[in-house]
Formats: sequence, structure tokens, C-alpha cells
Amino acid sequence: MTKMTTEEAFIKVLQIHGIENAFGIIGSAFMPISDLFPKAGITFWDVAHETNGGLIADGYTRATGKMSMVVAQNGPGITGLVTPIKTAYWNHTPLLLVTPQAANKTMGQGGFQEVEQMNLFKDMVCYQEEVRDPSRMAEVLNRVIEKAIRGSAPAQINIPRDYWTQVIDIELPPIVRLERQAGGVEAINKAAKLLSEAKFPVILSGAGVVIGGAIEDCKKLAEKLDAPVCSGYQHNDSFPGSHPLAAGPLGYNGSKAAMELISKADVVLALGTRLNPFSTLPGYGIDYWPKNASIIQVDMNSDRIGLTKKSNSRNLWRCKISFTATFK
Amino acid sequence: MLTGLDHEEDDKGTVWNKEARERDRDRMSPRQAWRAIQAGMPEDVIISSDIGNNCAIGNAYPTFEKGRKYLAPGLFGPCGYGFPSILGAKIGCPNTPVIGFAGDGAFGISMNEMSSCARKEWPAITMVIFRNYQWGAEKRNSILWFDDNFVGTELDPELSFAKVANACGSKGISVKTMEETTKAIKQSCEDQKKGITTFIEVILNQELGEPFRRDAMKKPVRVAGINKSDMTPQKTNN
Ligand SMILES: Cc1ncc(C[n+]2csc(CCOP(=O)(O)OP(=O)(O)O)c2C)c(N)n1
Ligand SMILES: [Mg+2]
Repeated sequence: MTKMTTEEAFIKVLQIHGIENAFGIIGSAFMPISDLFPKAGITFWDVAHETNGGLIADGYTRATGKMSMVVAQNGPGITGLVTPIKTAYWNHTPLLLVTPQAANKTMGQGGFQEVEQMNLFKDMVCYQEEVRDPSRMAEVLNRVIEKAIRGSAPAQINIPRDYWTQVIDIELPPIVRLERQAGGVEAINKAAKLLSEAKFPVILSGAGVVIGGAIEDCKKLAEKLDAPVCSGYQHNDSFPGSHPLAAGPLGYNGSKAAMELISKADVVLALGTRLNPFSTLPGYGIDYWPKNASIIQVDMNSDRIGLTKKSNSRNLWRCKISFTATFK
Repeated sequence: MLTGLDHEEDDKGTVWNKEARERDRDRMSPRQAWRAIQAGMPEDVIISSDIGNNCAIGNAYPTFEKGRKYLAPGLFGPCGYGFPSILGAKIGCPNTPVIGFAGDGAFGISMNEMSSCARKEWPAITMVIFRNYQWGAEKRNSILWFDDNFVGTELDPELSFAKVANACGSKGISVKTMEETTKAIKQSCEDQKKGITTFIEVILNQELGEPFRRDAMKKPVRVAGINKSDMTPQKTNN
């Protein structure tokens, strides 16, 4: 056990996870931590508007693969983060959302800058937790960061602001990084069988291929199967454009060649994509989604398997596998 | 596939794109602008995009050899994504050239960040603003399903983003031809290395590409009818 302040505990956990950048507008509600940023090696990017701050954080992570944090004053600073946090959610961006809350001592009295910040982000994050006791600052922050990484989405820590500047006696929590699960044996065998018997397999590569660092693996697999690769809507960077098997993006204003190719597929291998509606809606009057093809969907989130697109029921097949683990 | 295409098509019975071309003969079409931009883009560039017609027309143009290079707004679809997201990309990758893209309406939502990003601690970027003086993507819907009834689709023609940029301490320029556009993109990427942020206002004609949501739109019918005379004044205590 070590004696430290709640803000020191908070900063130490940020350091353990290598979070070097924070975006927001300065406010009294988090000054005990911003005060320590320079000492800790954390850069505070003081933006002109919280909404931009959140989107800057999204851009930072999408370009680097590293996580950052977004922080703001309780109340009106925090409400400005709704749009960017939900944006980051659908960009599958792991992000630490720090929401200092009106003080527990007065919460519920309709005081200054008071709003229900947990309800506000309920539908915007993959995980949220409020610190219920000052001694739990490090534990909760560590869990929230882990959850953001596991869920590849924003996660929120809500902190009653009167929990800062308290002395606690704690042990810093350990990092528990999970390896992503590979698909089950049965699922992988079925996928292999479908693909080896396919007459015209087509790969659809999505954001997960970028986020999972699996572009090389996707390329190898495409070459092995001699399968053209379509990209998901707005994920033009999920396959090398100069590769002979690259077909371009599907969806709104996408590539006609990609649409025509996938429409002929008898097996679609959908990698790192939830098959969102914008990647599957008709474009240029071409209703390209191959309704009778077998779909092999690979997504880190099993809730999204088969959510939007079904294969014919005989071949309907589900799996939850990670990209790299599967192809190597 | 797109290289030969210069102009946007009108649906049967509509004339917006044809008239837009005739109205501003000396201005670039969105596709001409995109081609000029592509000709000037450095290798290894990270680009962002926004929700809007011009950005969407460009959606099929960029290809990349590596991942984490294309930051489009994604499925939540917020206008105002292109500018802040490219700032974040540059903060994370200070030695990589970056170019942000947004329509003039969407850029307006995020432009308060012009007041923070010119400070010397912030890395330099290039930001392209597609200037067509309209909330184009929504305007296309009014053309196709609402008989050209343009409610809330017009932007301020007097506003100069280039001047605002200069006033913020960045470099602001306005380009009208393909040649100028390619040159400005190249120059701005060189300038990023010297810490100079450039906002390029690309002046365009008002052509509009495919609507976002053909799937979700239909022509409304009038059933009860709406009359101005039914408006009831509010009572106040003044
Ligand atoms: C925050 C937000 N507000 C409104 C919309 C609805 N919307 C979608 S596209 C669009 C028009 C974009 O206009 P502009 O940025 O000028 O680009 P253009 O279509 O003219 O190229 C609007 C208002 C949105 N997507 N997001
Ligand atoms: Mg516009």
C-alpha cells in the first residue's frame, strides 16, 4: 500500500497505460489532474470547442492506434462531447472519456453545472463507471481503460469532483491485456470448407482489418484464394489500392467494379466488418448485395455477427475470430 | 473508372446540375477539383473527410497502400468531422503530411478550431474547404423530393474562409482552377514541414452528386394542406 492523493493515483494509472495526450477546455473540475499533466509527460491540447476536442481525439487514435483521453468541465463542457463520443463509438475508436461530475455533496439540488452524465453517455460508450469512493480511483480508471481497449470504443469514468485532493492508501492495479479470441475449431473448419469449395469467393475488408493490423494477413489470404477484395464504405485504406486484387470501396458513391464483383460471389468472407447498412445498400441503381451467397463474418463483437445480413439459412454460419490469429 | 467523369447527372425532370454548369462556366466541378487535388497529394498522406456532397463524391477516389490513412466520419455521420480529425491525426503523426477535407457548411461547424490550431505548439496541417456556398448534400434532397424548395440550404456568399484563416495567423488561400488547386496542395504540404498551416478554399460550381439516402426518401403528398392564416400569435407578458 502506498499513500497518494486521488489525482496522483489517477495520473499514475494514465502513465501505466501510456496515455500521453488529453484534449479539452480547461475547467476547475479537473484542475487537480491537469496541474500534474506537465510533470507526468501528458500534453494537454487546449481546444476551442469540446466537440472538436473529442473529434481530434478520434483522429489521433485512428491515425496512430494509440489511445488518448478527452476531458471537460462538468455540465456544459461535458454535454459538448456527446456528438464526438458517439462518432468515435461508430468509428470503433478506443478512447478514455473523463467526466468530472458536480460534487456528491450537492448533486440533485439543481446546482451549478449539474447534469446526469452517466445517463447522457449511456448509449455512446461501450462501458461506463462512476467512482463510488475516493479510494477506488485507480481501480476504476484502470478498468475503464481496459474496457475501452477490449471493446474498441469509448469508455467513460465519471468522477464526483469532491473526490479530488483526498489522500488514499492503495495499491496500483495491474494491467490485464487479453489476447483477442480466435474462432472456434468448428467455425474455422466450416469457413475453410466453404472457401475451398467456393467458385467465386470475394473478401470484404472493413475497419477491423485496419484496427486489428491485419492488412498483410488479408492480402496473403486474398492471394491464396485468388479472391478480389472489396472495402467497406469509407474504409478505402483497409486494402492496398495498388494490389491487383483490390476492387475499391462498396456503398454510397463507391466503386462500381467492387459492386459488380461482390454481386457475383457465392461466398463472401467479411473481415472486420459489421456489414453496416451503408456498405450494403444499392448504389448507382445496382442492388449488389449477393443474397444467396454464404457469408463468413469475422467481427470482434459477436453481437454484430448476423445482425444486418443473413446468408441462406442452410449455410448460415457464425463465428467470432480475430484476424491475425486466424490467418497465420 | 472515375477519371473520365467530369460532371454530375440530373434525375429525369430536374435541371439543377445543367443550370449550375451554365451559371458558373469558369468554375471547377467537384470531380475536376478532386482530380486536381489528387494530382498534388504527396505519397504517404493521411486524409480526412466530412459529411457532404463534395466529400462524398470523392469517396471512391483515394486509394492507400497502408492502413490508418483515411479518416472519414463514419456511420454516425457528423458534419464538422474533417477539420478536427485531421488535427488529431497530425498531433499523432507529426512527420506525415496530412490533408483535411470538408464542405463549406460542415467546416463552419468546426471552424472555431482555427482560433486554437495556429498557436506554435500545434502541428501544421492542410485543410481543404469545398466552397459551393450551400449545404449541398441536403440541397440535393430538396431538388429531388421537394420541388426546389430551398429551406435553410444557402450559405453566406460574402464570407471568405481564406481571410478568416489569415486573421487567425494561418495561411489562407482561395483557388479557382485545377492548376491552382494542384499547386496549392503541393505547396501547403511543403509548408507543413515549416510549421505553416494552410486553409485552401476551393471555389466550385454548384453541381451536386448522388443524394445520401435514396433509400430513405420519398416525395411527400399534401393531404390536409397548410395555410399561413392558421398561424396563431403567442401571448406574452411584455
Ligand atoms: C452535425 C450535422 N448537422 C447536420 C447534418 C445534415 N447534413 C448532412 S450533409 C449536410 C450538408 C453539408 O454541406 P457542406 O458541408 O457545405 O458540403 P456540400 O454538401 O455542400 O459539399 C448536412 C447539413 C449532419 N450530417 N451533421
Ligand atoms: Mg457546401
